[in-house]
Amino acid sequence: MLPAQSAEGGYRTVVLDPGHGGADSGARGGTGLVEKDLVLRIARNIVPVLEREGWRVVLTRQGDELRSFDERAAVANAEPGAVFLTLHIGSTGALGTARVYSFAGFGSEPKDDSPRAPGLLPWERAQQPYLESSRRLAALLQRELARRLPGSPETPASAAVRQLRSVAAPAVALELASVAVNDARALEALAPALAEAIARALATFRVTPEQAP
Amino acid sequence: MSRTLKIVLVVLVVLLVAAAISWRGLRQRVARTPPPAQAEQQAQRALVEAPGASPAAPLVAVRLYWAAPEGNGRLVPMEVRLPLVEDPEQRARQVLNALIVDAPSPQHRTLPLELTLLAFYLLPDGSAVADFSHDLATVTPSGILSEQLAVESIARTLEANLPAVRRLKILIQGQEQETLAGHLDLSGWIELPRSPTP
Repeated sequence: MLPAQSAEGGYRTVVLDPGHGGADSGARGGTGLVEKDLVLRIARNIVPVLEREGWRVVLTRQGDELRSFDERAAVANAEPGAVFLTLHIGSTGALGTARVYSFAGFGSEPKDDSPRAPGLLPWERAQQPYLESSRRLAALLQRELARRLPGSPETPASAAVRQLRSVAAPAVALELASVAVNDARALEALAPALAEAIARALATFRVTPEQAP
Repeated sequence: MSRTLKIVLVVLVVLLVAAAISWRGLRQRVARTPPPAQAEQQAQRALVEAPGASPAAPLVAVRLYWAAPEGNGRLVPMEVRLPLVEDPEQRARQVLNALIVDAPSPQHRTLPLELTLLAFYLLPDGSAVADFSHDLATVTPSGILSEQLAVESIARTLEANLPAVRRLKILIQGQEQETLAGHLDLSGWIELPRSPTP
């Protein structure tokens, strides 16, 4: 259980999650590119851009450490007014395109009739009250990405992304394509466009916040 | 040359010819033997193939969901005809095995060719459990998009061909997994039917 967060004071912190780390390499390309390394380098390039926009940015890992899904979610859940973005690079898709996902469970939630104090959220369903906010953020971010990364979809998708499930804040996953490139620099070169898209989407999201749960 | 030496030489020649013939046959047999991994897959598939499925059984049209070959992240339904058995569990095995091995091209494939469906159970309330080999986690390309296509193709294929299945649980080597290959949540039940994600 965790207390429901409120964005009453406005959104002011971005929890940026470079996926995987440590023994969990994530996707691997044929030429040896590894998702965990690339997303960390790209995340580090995004941080100063968001800070210039007035955001406090928290990375869920600073180096090649293995953090569990719940440990990463806990970073966001401890930050009032946080927005969570998990960064990934997939194995498939056209190079230089990006897809944004909000959480979609597969519909069957564990039955939990246990008495609960008002204002508390079950950890496994922490994202549930924030789904509308997350969908709105996903739509804004996907639109900005489609403008900057040709071939990216115009509209976001929803998927049962494990990392998003326990985040008690607006939360999206961004997956860049792909580790199948020959040279890591081709992906790292996209960092400025990604940072700009994220900054623009967050700026719009921040000035029109939805009702907090 | 003594008579004894002649006999020894003849025996040696005969032995050499026999060895050459045996060696050639052995090489041909080795060449016909599939590599160990392939042989293991064949053996696994043979073990889990639906009993009673005879090539003489009437062919039934089934709808299988594969990836759109243009790589837009969508699934496309394609119709194939299979000699389906009546039993829903065995029918599910047949349909899912076809989904794994019958993709018209590598671009259509959502599941690795090495994958084996180890078991499929269907309970009276419509809950189904599909237990796949470890290849689902280790060979499926890691990523949100590729993992979602894998799970969606299984779920929508079952939904299209087995109306008795109301919800699905995916196991890997008999165990519940937190994710498929690092991204997609496999801890819950997948409800069927459901509207496709955008």
